[in-house]
Order: sequence, then C-alpha cells, then structure tokens
Amino acid sequence: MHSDTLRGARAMLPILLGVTPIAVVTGVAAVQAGLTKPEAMCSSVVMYAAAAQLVVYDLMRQHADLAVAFAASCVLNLRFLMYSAGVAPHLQGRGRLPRLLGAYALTDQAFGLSMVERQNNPGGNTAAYYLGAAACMWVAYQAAAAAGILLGAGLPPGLSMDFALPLTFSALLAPLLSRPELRAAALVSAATALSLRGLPNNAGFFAAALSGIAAGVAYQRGAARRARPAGCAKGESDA
Amino acid sequence: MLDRWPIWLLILGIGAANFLLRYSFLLIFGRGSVPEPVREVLPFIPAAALAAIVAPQVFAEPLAGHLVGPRLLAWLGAMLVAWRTRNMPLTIAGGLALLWVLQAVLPAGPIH
Repeated sequence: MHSDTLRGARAMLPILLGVTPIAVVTGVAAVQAGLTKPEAMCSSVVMYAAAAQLVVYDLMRQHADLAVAFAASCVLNLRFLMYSAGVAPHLQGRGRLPRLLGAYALTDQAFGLSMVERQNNPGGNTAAYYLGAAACMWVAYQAAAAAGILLGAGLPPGLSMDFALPLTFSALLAPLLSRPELRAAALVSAATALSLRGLPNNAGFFAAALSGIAAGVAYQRGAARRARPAGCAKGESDA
Repeated sequence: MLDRWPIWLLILGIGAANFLLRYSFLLIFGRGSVPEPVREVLPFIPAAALAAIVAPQVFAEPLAGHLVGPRLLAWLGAMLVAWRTRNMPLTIAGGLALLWVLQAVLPAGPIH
C-alpha cells in the first residue's frame, strides 16, 4: 500500500474517538425507528452521513412524510457541495474508480484532514492520503454503526433513546458557537423553530434553517462592513 | 417486504442525493467552481440546521406548560459535561443517564 495512504489512515485514528460514538447512536436510532437489522445496516452504508441519518430515523419513528425526510436530509447534506469542491483538486486526473470512491466516502473529517495535508505537504500525493483517511473513517464508522444496531436491538423499550439525537446534535453544535456569526445563525434558527414548531410537514424546521442562514449571512456582511475601513488600509499595506 | 418499499425508496433516494452532492465537483472540475452566493451561504447550514432540530426537542416541556421537565434538566446537565470535558461519548451517555434518573425521581408531567 502507498505510504501516503497509510499516513492518511493513521492521521484519522485520533479523530475516530469523536466519530464512532455518533455512529453507534445512528445504529441504535435506526433499529429504534423500526428498521430491521439488515435494513439498518444497509441504510448506514447507502446514506453514510450521520447527521442526516439521525434526522431521517427520527422522522421515520414519528411516521413523518417520506418527502419531508428526504428534503430535511438534503438540507443537512448541502455542505457536501463545499467539501466536494475542496477535494476535487486532490483527485483531479485520477482514474474513475478513485474519484467515485473518494466522492462516496467524503466526510467532514476526511475533507478537513486532506486540506491540512495539502497545505503542509503540497508536493505529496494528496489523493492517496485523502483516500487512506476516508477509508479508515468508513471502516470505523460502519463497524461502530453495526455495534449500535446490535445494541439497539437488545435495548428494552422505554429508555427514551430518542433523546440521544438532541444530545449528539448539541455536542456537534457547541464548538460552532464560539464564532459570533454562527452563534447568530443558531440563535435565530432556534427561536424560529420554537415559534413555528406546530406547523405541518416540519415546515418549522425548514423555515428555521432558512432564517438562521439568512441571519448568519446578514451578521457576517454587517461585521465585514464595520471592519472595512481598518481592513482596507491593512490590505493595501500588505499588497 | 412489499410494505417496506417506501422505506427503501427513501434510503436509496437519500443515498443517491448524498452521492451526487459529494461527486458534483469531482464531475465538473475544470468547468466550474462554487458560485459566490452559494459559497457565502454554505458555512451557515450546519449551525442553523442543528439548532433548528435541537431547540424544539429540548424545550418541548416548558412550551407544553411543564416548566422544568426531565429532558430540559438532563440536557442542561449534558451541556455542562460537554463544556467541562469536551468529550462526546461522555456527553451523550451522561445526558441519557441523567434523563433516566430524573424520569424516575421527578413527578410525572405532561411529557416524557
């Protein structure tokens, strides 16, 4: 195996500590939503996106409309567009198979590692590094999901396991809140979701996400405008 | 199996949509880049979407007239754990364990 592939896989190892617990939660949520064990495992392999999976399982559990579940997962996964653009240069000129696999296994974590590697080691084989990191993440994620599926199937009912969803999402959200523009987005979104929570078809969720994004963009534009006089002068002296 | 086809349709549909989003720029690379308005909006999606999902689930009890329910208290406890330890497994396990204890101890409210 290429040494860059191994380096990528090794760089992923410490990150797995944060990822595998979420994968376990998705496995538990899948069986608690009423999927059989094979269905749960297949859905984990086919979707391979923890946040979207958790939301879709939660909506399945509530017998929500399937089109709503599909739309909600698309909103959560739009960020892959950004990552896709980020890793495209690494895989440019590679064969069809590495690009297909690289796209399928694209995650926040593999994307992040590959961008750091590209910066630290511009002459290296970033494609091999990225694929190694992505493969390591995929194996660990699916193994942890399988463990969660077995665990979830063995749990007695009445344990309120659905509560793992807000806990997991809060833990993912917390580090984002240190940035003021993201804090504005989250606050406005939460307030909208609370005030519109009774609407049918989870319309409150979509309205909340939209209003939060709009608030974040508005905040950032405002901050950029306020910073412009000083920023301009600095930019000119740098150039 | 017949009654399971909508579920499979959903799973496969989401899988296909996910793949297309992930493959998009690998497919068109050299012929385009993320348009500026999209680039501006994308970083806000995770924070806004996560908050939109969390808030109604955590504040369901106060909104239903049950001022301090077990879920809100357990969530506050879990956030304390998250803040002090930054440990994801401990946050999830601690929040769930706290919820079970509070559900056993607190008087029953309108929501569990």
